[in-house]
Amino acid sequence: MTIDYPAQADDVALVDLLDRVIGGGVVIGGDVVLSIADVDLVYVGLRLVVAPAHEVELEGGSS
Amino acid sequence: MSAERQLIHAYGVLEADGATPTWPSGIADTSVSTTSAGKLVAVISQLPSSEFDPATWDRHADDAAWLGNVAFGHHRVLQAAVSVSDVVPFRLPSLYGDMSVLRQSLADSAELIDQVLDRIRGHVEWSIKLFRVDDSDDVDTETEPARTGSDYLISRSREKKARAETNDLVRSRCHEAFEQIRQVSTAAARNAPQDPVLSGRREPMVLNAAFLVERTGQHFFREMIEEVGVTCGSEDLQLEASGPWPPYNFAAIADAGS
Repeated sequence: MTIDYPAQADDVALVDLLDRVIGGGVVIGGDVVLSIADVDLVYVGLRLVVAPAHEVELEGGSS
Repeated sequence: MSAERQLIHAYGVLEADGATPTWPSGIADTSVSTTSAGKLVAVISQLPSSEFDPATWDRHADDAAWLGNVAFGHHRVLQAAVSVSDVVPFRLPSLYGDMSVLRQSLADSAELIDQVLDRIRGHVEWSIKLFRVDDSDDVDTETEPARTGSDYLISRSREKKARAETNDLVRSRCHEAFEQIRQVSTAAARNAPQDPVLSGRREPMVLNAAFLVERTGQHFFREMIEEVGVTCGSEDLQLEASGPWPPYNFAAIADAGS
């Protein structure tokens, strides 16, 4: 069993982070329009590309 | 050039009487500050409009490196906050044209923020995942070649049945583990398991859950997940836990009342 303590933000996996910071959190309105739909699109786009980026990172060995 | 137009990004809000940490740098290495708004304190950075306007977000919609950097900056600040006090995380991005708009938005959403604060006060989030390590999908693919068509059909149907039974078993183990851990939590959420391509692990993820845990009761929670982890381990399920996180999964309105 593994227990991680992501107090060190750099250790967090990108997909876990995006699931939370874009998928969660409170939305309160403002005047700079980044609609929820737009953000979802960003996320969908990202899900398609995050995999190759992740693999490259693993192969390169993390710092 | 004269001063460039700035946007305000709000990471989240704290209660005015809570502790504040030494802030790390925020998104794009900007400095982080707080601004009080009634009973709340908003944690903010000023971001150059040219680099963070909606068009730029659109342009980077499939740019993992750019989004990753921004997300880490956002998280770094919230993680610092949750290490010392209760924080209501805002969704990334939360941008405002100037301080008066931010204040107005906070005032308009005061009731919502209050509800979320009531739910998360004194709590942090923990993540629990279960991975299936037995890899039973490969079972029986290389058994003796079937002699006749009906042999083949019988063996296929047997395989299918065995796999279905294993899947049922895994499903019920996951449910059990989730319920057990829920007992030492204030609230729980089940998310869709991450695809192996995204999780970066070959083993299929079968549970992707988040728990809202009392800050002062985290040792009970960890005792429980260690116990559940051992039981799951004997069932070819590997438990992975991480925390404490800011309560991202418990800050959305949709979860209210759960």
